[in-house]
Parts: sequence; C-alpha cells; structure tokens
Amino acid sequence: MNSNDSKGSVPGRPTVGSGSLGPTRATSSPPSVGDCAEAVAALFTFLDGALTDELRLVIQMHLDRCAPCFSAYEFHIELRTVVQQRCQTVLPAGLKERIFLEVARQQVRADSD
Amino acid sequence: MQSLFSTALRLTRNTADAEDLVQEAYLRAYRGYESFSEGTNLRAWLFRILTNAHINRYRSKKRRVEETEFDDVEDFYLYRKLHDPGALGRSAEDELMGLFGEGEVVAAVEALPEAYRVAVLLADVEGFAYKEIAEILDIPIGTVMSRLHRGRKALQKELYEFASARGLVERQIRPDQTSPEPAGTER
Repeated sequence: MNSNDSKGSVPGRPTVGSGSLGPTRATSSPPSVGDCAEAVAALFTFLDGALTDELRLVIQMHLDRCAPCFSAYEFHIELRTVVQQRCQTVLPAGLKERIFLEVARQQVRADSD
Repeated sequence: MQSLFSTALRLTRNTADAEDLVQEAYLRAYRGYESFSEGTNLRAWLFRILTNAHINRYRSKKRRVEETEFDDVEDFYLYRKLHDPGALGRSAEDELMGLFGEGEVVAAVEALPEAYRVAVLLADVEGFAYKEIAEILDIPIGTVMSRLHRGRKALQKELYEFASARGLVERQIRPDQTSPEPAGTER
C-alpha cells in the first residue's frame, strides 16, 4: 500500500529533499558542497553518527558556511540532550535487591529439579 | 539496570508495571543465558528481552503502527516554531533545558505511539546505533530510521504543544490579548 521505509532504507544515505521543505532536487549530479535541503534531509542521520564519511563531509562543509543550518543543527543537538536527561530515572529503592533475590530463588528451584 | 528501568518506565508509563517488567526481563535473561554467545552485544540483548517481554504483555492493547503518521510534520518543526519572530519570547541564548521541564518531556515521550516511542528511547536516550535497534526490535534498519524520523517529529510537535498550552506563544503573538479564552475558541 504505502511506500513506507523506501526513503530511509539505505543507511547513511537519506534521500535528498525528502523533507517537507522545498522542492525535490534533481539528483542527476551529486552535489559537492551541499545545500540546505540536503542538510535538512540528513539532520537525524548526521546526529545519529550514521552518515557515510563522504556525505558527512559535505554536510559539515555546508554547516561551516550556512549559519541558519548550523543553528538548526545546534538546536537539535541540544534538544536531544534535554530528552536524554529528562528521561533518566532513579531505580526505586530495593528493586535491584528484590530482583536478584527472585533470580536466585528461581535458580535454586531450577537446580533442584 | 537503571537504563533498563528508565526504558521500562517510559514503555509501561507506571512504576509498578515497570518494576515487574524489569524483573521479568532479568529472569528471562538468566534463564536464557546459555544461549547467549560470546561476542553478542549484552546490553542490546537485555533490551531485546525487555522490549519483547513488554510486547508479549501488552499485545492485546497494542495499536497497529501506521508508518505514515506525522509525515505532514516538517523536519525542523520545533526549531522553526520556536524561532518564529515573537514566538515564545525565546532568545537564541535561552536554554531548552530551562524551557522544558522533566514532566513535559516525559509526557511528550509517553504520548508517542508505542512503536515510535521505543525507537526514540533506544536511540536518543540509550544511544543505540541503527543496527543495534534493528536487532533489538527485529525490524529492518530502514524501518528503524523511518520510525525514528517520525517519532522525533511527533515529539517536537508534542513539546511545542506544551509550550503553547502554557501560553508562552499566545502571550508573545498577541500581547494585547487579556482574556484567557478568546471568543470562538473551541473547547
């Protein structure tokens, strides 16, 4: 039915212009310095450290000369840190002990079978 | 165990169920330890057991994943919303950490459809690579990437809605608006 996943099926090579911004670029010749549409499309893969070396270089060069994209990338790095830190929790008191006790109890039961 | 518990808590949305889930994962892990082969990623393996245990428990409640959800949300959603002139009154120097408290981030994560939530937690909170997430969830790498993409966009949308519900956006856009409920607002 839908063409889900077709966009991101090749690791490290997100389709240029797959974002909702701007027109899809013609992909006849691979760009060497990158453009904003490409930076948008590559954002998440870049942040995940999963771009190919070649594409990462293109993006990095683009970020060096495009302040708006640089700022947007910085924002998303910060956002990820916020999500990461806010989702940390402390273990409830005694949980570790209860679990290891239960594991040991079941081990004993299994061994005596 | 702490990161397993954090993930369990975001999956189950309550402490008691999360404790049970972590315990079940540990029991399964110890039982299956013989099948664990040298060279396997132990941490990824534990998360695989945890997410499988969760899926088994809540299978009946599980909503089918609609892989095209949030396609209409643009990639830089939150960034653009927060950087609209006048929006939120946030200067570039204001820290996001101060803008979104723990309760809001957690609520936004927990509001995500489950398939997206798991992917976002494994990648953004636990730092797993695409390949590891694919192994943990038994899905192709392309599916991992598309779920992450949609999940992150959805998360940004949720976060923006929190910010806007707090009135930060309204206040800036319509400084002369004194009524808390403008006429014609649908409830």
